Amino acid sequence: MRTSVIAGLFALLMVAYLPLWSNGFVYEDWNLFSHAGPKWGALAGLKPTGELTMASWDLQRGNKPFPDPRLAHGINLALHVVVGLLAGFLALRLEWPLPWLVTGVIWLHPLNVEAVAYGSGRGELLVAVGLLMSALAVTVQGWRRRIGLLAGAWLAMHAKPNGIVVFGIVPLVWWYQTREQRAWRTQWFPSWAVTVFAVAVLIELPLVLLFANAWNVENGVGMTWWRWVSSESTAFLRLIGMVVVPLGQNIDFDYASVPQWWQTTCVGIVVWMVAMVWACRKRLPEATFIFGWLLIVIAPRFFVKVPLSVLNEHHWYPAMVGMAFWCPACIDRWLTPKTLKSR
Amino acid sequence: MSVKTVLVGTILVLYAVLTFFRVQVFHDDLALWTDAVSKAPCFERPLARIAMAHEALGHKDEAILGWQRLLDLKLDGRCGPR
Repeated sequence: MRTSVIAGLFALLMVAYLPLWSNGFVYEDWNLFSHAGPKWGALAGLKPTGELTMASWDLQRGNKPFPDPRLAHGINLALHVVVGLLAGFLALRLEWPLPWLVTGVIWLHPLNVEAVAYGSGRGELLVAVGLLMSALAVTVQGWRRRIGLLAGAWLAMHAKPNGIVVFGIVPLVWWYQTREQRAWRTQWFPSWAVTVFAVAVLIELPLVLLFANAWNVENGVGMTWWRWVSSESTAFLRLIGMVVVPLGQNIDFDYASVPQWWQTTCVGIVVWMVAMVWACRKRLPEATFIFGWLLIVIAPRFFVKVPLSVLNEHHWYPAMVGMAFWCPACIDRWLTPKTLKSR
Repeated sequence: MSVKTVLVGTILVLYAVLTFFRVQVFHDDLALWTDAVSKAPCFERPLARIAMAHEALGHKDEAILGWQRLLDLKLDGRCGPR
C-alpha cells in the first residue's frame, strides 16, 4: 500500500514538473551558470558543496557560454525527490502519522517550486538534504549515527551559510525522540494549529489584496535592524499562510510596501509563537517539533541582514520540511480510529 | 476509501495543479517578471527587470517602452507618495 502511494505521488510529481524541461535560466541563474560571472557571489568560499554540484557544468557545456538548462533543472528535481523521501523516512522513524503525506506535501506543494525551478535554489535543496540526513542519523545508533551526523552537518553547512541551523535541528530531533512519553493531547492539536494558521492567513491575505499595489522603496536599502526584523517577521507569517493558501506567489514580494504597524504586529505574533513552542513541549511535543523546526531554520535570517533579500520562497524550502509534518499531524485525528487515539 | 482520504488526495492533486502552473512562470525572465509585475504593479525592480529582459532578447522597442513605463511610474505618483 505504502509503495503504491509513493509511486502515485511520484507520478504526480513528474507531471506537475513537466514544464520544467522546457524552462530556461532566469534572474540570477545567468550569473550562476555563466563562465564569466561570479558563481556564488561574495560568499563563494562558503558554498563549496554547491560549487561541487556545478562541476559537471564545465564538463558538459564545452565551448557553449551556458550549459543545457535541463541538466541544472534535472539535478534540482532529483534533490527535491531525495528531500521528500528523506522527510518521509524521518517521519517513519519518528512514528509520525501518515509519513507518506509528509513526502507528498514536500513533493507537490507549489511553494517549493521556486527552489526547484530556479537554479539558485540549489543551495536550499542541499541544506535540506543535509538537515534531514543529520536528523535521520539521530534516530539510529552506533557508527551509522556518527557518520550520518558528520556527513549531514558537513553537507548542510557547506551548501549555504544558513546550514549552520543543523546544530539546532539535531538537538530538536534528539529531544523529540527521547522526550518523556506523555499522553497525546490530540484534541488540542488541531485547534492550536488552526489558530496559528488562521492568524498567518489573516496576515497574508491583506498583503496580497491591499498592500501589493502600494508605493515602495527598494528592499533592504537603508534598513534599520528593527525594520529588518519586522520585514522578516512579516515574510515568515506570509509564507506560513501560503502553505495553507498558496495565493499570490511572487519571486520578489515587496515587503517595503507593507505598513510598519502591520509589520510590528507580525513581530509580536512571532514572539508569541516562540512562547507557544516552549509552552507546548510537554503536552504537545508534536507542535513543538514542527514549529521548533520552523523557527530554528529561519532564525539566522532574523540576525543576519541581507540587503535586497528578505525571506522569500526558495529560502523557505528547508522550513517547508517542518510544515510538511504539520499536515499529517492535524489530520491524524480524523483518519485514525478512535481506539488508537488513546495511545 | 473514506471521505477524508479522498479530501487529502484532492488537496494533493490541487497542489500538483498549482505547481504545474507555477513551474511555467519560471520559463524565462520575461515570463517571471511579467508575473511579478502583475502581482506588484508599483514595485520598481520587476519593471526594470522586464525592460532588461527585453534588452537581452534584442527587443529594443519593447525595452524602451519598459523603461518608459518605469519612469512614468516614478514621475506621475499614481502609486502613492515617494
